[in-house]
Amino acid sequence: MVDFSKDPTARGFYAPERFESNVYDCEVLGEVPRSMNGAFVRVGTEWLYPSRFRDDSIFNADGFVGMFRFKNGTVDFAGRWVRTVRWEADSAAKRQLYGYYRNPFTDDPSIRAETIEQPYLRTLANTNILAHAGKLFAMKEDGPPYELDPKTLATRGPMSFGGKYRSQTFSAHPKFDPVTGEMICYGYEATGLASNDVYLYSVDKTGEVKREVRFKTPYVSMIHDIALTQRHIVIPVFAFTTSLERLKAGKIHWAWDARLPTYIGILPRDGTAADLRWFKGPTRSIVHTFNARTEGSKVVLESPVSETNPFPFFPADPGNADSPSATRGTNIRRHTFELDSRHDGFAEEILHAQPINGLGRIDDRYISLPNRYAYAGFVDPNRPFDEARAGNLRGRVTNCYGCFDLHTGAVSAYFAGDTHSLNEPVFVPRAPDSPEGDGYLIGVANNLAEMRSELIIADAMNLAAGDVARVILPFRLGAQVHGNWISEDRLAFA
Amino acid sequence: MRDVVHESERGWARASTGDPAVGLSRRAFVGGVAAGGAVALAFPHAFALAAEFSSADPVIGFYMDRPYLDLSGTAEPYIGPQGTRSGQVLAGLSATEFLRLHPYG
Repeated sequence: MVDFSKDPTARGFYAPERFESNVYDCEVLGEVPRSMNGAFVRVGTEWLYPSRFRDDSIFNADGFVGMFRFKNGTVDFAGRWVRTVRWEADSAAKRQLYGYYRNPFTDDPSIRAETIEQPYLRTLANTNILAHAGKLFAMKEDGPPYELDPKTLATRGPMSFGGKYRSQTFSAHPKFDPVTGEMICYGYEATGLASNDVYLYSVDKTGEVKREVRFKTPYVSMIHDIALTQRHIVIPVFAFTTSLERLKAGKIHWAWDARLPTYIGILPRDGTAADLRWFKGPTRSIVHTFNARTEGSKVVLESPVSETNPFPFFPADPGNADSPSATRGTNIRRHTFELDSRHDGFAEEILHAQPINGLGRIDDRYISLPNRYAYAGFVDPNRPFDEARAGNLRGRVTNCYGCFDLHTGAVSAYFAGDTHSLNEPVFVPRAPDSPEGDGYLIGVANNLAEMRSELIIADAMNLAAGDVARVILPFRLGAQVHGNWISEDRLAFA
Repeated sequence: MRDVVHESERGWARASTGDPAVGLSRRAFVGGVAAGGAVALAFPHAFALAAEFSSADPVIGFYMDRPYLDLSGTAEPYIGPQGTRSGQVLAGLSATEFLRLHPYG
């Protein structure tokens, strides 16, 4: 029997939904641009069975994919669980067998020996969803990606890239080179729990693994994202860390340790592990990156950066200085690495001091190339908020999308409404050859008063004008982690 | 429902976990207590951690579009709206106005 009554967060708008769905020809307010043909795919969390621990991470729920299929001005929606090994095991047992977020030592005794030995069996595929070489796949950084049928979203199974991908794990943020069509992907904790081994791969545009580089990081860290230039790969290592001792003690995988410095690895695209150079700086959190570029002998990285723990659900251990309440202040910064210098430090510059949330995006056609615009959600406490209808979240919900000009410092903003909370924005070019920034900014807004989710479509060149269309779903969507736009020339949708 | 094996007064039998009051024998209960102790022994730090946090009341915090349980009790509490309030915009209408907007038949 399913019982969520012991989870105090599973209430109101955030109560579990636990159903798969199809909505044909969704209700639309405004007009969906007819040039948008493809799909906005998103993945997030939806518990099949409640967690075994009330203070578990929200990132420990089952992966649930949503697809908004755009075709000639209309939109269909489909929602499906990713049927991972773990989902199937729980489904068969009719209860939650798995313990804390990324800690198999807390699993049910019936599976514990197996999951400690093969922790990748615990993956939930709940963090990102992407397409490469004609395949759609969902992933989480503790296991293999899972391929999905782009027509039905049915789960096809874990991917091994013909057996040539050897890491036990696969990052949630592979990077796609728009010039070569390559996918640069990697796995950290590649050889097992709390290992500092990273395996990095180049997969060509046909899906074949072409290169592998194996290296170690200065300490075990959450390498959630990397950045790409035309000549280098940029690898942030920062203060979320873990250890086997920690896991054996039954704790959640990550703890913030403000004593740890930041290391940024710079690896030439055609280099080996011997060419990897680590630059060292003060404690920072760089969970996501916007973009990077190589300028002569310099590598420039632009990212959402915070100086403290950005995730209150991965707190510091007791006695450590950082606390869950010290989790504000992510903003846009530039880090510059001098490859000619013998100094192992790096320069830091704040490009936009305004706080943003850490889910930043760019126009993906400019990954690895010089670019001008960054997009992110942010909280504008000066906008109206209807607390009676939406809860005491004034100043705490992401109610705006911003376009941040990295050249001039200008910001333009889209406001979602006084009962809305926005998920990560995604940029969709107006046409394949449109200049950078000419297109649409899309993303899911949760309407906390009407208990439904809405897909926002706004003109990225005129955010202040509001949305051009809202696709209305007659129900709530579960919490999203990441989403992406996939045009129909890249994938065989229905 | 899952079946579990337990020892009844008259020997081994099968019972359903759907009704624990019927299915639980003294032996199963003792076994359960022992298992609980084993968990405590296996994860002493987790129990110590819970004890450290027990001095503060947990609160429901809110972070990036989702609530979470903050055991430190230091997060700003999230209090959702009471009910969905989706009909609140209609509450100010008179019956006549409402029927004019939403006629029956």
